[in-house]
Amino acid sequence: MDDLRRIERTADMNDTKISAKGVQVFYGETHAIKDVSVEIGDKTVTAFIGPSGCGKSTFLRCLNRMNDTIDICRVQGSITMDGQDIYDPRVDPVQLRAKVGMVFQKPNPFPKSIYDNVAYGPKIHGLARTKADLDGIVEASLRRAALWNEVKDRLESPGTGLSGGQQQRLCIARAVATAPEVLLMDEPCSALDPIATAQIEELIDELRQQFSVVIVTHSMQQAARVSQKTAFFHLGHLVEFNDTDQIFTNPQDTRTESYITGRIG
Amino acid sequence: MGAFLNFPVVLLVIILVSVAGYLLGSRRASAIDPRTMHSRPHQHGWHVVFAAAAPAVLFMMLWVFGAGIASNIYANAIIPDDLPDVQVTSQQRESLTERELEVREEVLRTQFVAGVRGLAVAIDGYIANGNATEAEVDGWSADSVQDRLRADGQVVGSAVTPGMLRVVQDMRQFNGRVATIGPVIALVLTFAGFLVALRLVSAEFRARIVVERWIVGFLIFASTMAILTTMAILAALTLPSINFFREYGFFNFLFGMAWAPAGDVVGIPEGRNGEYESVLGFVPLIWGTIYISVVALLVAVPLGLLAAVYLSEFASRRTRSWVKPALEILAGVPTIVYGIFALITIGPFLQAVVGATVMPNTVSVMTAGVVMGMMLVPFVSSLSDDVINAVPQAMRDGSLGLGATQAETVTKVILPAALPGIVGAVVLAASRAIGETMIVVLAAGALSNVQGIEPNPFGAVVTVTTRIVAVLTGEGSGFDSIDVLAVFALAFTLFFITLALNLLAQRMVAKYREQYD
Repeated sequence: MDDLRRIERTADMNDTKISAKGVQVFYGETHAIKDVSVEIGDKTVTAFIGPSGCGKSTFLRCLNRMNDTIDICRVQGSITMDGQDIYDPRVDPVQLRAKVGMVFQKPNPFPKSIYDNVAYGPKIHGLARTKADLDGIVEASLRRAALWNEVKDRLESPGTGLSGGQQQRLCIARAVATAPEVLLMDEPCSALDPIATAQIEELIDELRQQFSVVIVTHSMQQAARVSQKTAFFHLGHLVEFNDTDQIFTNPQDTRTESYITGRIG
Repeated sequence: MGAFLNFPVVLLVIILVSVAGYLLGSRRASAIDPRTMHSRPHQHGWHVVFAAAAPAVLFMMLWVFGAGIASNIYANAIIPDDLPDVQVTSQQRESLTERELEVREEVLRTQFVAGVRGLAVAIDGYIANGNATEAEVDGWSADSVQDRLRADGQVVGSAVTPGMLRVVQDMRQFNGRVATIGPVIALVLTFAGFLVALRLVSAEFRARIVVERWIVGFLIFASTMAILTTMAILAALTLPSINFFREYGFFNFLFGMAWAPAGDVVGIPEGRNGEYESVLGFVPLIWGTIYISVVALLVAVPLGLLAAVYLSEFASRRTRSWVKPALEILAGVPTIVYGIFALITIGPFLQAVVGATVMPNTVSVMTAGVVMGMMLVPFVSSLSDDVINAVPQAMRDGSLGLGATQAETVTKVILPAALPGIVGAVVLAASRAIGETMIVVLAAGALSNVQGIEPNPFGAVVTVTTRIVAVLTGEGSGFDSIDVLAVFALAFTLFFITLALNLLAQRMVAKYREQYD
């Protein structure tokens, strides 16, 4: 039984969900991402690590075209998801973002009730036909984000009234509620205390069974704990991309080694 | 001496003494060994300046303020009770109750004092023009005064009676004495402060701390000045308003359905002796004001809000960089220009559209309301733009990241988040609409006799502000009639309505701010 699951997981991991080739990003005159190619597997947690300003968040925001909202940002190269070029003019970024959910660095619940925060995505995408459907989605999403037990009695109170860790889990529930295929997380724990961080990390591991998760993190321990694949970015270059074990035990590039041993960054 | 020693001269002396004080004070302090000193020499210099100037200047301000009050009290005190000017005629006396009589007499007295002050100002002007000396004025008789002053171009409101001239002459002498003593005391204060502060210069004296206290004092003074002014306005409005309410009746005013001041050409004959008596009801005026304000807000709020949404969420940086300043320039157009535009363009246009049967005049609620709405668009859009921009970018990212379109983000996340601030902006716009004057003077109508309320949006109405303008600038009414007292009551009520609206707006905006700080 256990072996079977292992085989299944390995098979899944070999499926490529997102494939980036020769991606370049410019902010006005600044060349932020230089020729990055990476393959992100399905049902895998991929961690992006690297010092501040290395471009890992910028690259993450290319994957759901959030960079489109910034006027001066230009993206070159190709990024495909399930073989479909996401920068194809025929692709609507709005539909893309419904499939690629995102959780931000700072918890950003809407100034609405907890229920309305989670129901926001399903409502705008028409995922629920009836109120009962919607209730079901909200409950399932909150359960998946391990928040249900804490908020089930106060779904109508404002989401902004929760603690930081709860707010971040609410944002995860909100992202999960739209049934995405990929979940992007931009330093989701950097504003949280260690206990809340541990809860989120546990959650990420569970989410992997259903989604492909990409997480940007400053904490190498976190990358080691939650991810199967790790990409190390430095000054806009993708220096090394490999299995997480390999990166942390046997880095191929001297820059990676310097970074994980604390000599740069 | 009185002619030479007045406050401007004293002010000049204070400035000279201050400059000398700074130089002397800092020089004396420089002579001391700096290592033993608490304060630096320039701080000692400033201490001398403050000690010499501040008490004297403060005293002058209080003195001028107090002198006005004192002369008023003095004038009131020296009016003989049996003076015919402040007596109700025996003919009227018969038809009045004791209380009514009392109120009438008090109003007569107030009006008489106002006349006295007006005459005093006219005489001051006459003397300032070099036509007479103080001594000559004291010898004047009542019958020639009016002609003399009018010949010089001075404004004389009411007829000058011997009793009034007597009071004016007394009051002016009193004022003259007050005006002579004040500057002398101010000068004494200046030199006393100067000398004391100079003697205080020593190594131990903590000049810096005293100077800093003075500076904090001035900062407090500056920040309370606006509040004090508001209170002074309120005080100036309150007394005449209360007099009016007592004379006319508070509820008669507040719920009166007609406005027809006798001072205007067309009054309503209603008096017991066939004279014209003013009918001063508030309802038709506030109705006009609110009606026009509602129309203005119906125009301004949707347009302004949509403009703000476009500018902050959809416009490219280049578009925004010229549309926003353009809108703000529009906010700087004088309201009289809007008024002319309403009168000569919008009014005839509306009349052509709806026809002369519905809209007999080019002036109407719609004419004024629509143009006032145009005037308020930049106001609403600029304030809303600020509150929309204050919604954190994280909200937009969060919504877009979930696959919401920009329109969904605006309607479902940004506007709800900005709502309290937007409501605050709308309330502020409403209070501006209610207090707006020039547009309604030109474009709302200028009836002097209004009965009841006008339901037709294309009919002419009068507003609170237009009536204040009409009564105070009108030919027919002197400054001593009940019509003028009524104007104070109008201003008083208007003040409270706008004050209440502004307080409401402030609370809403404050509530909004709490959310994101």
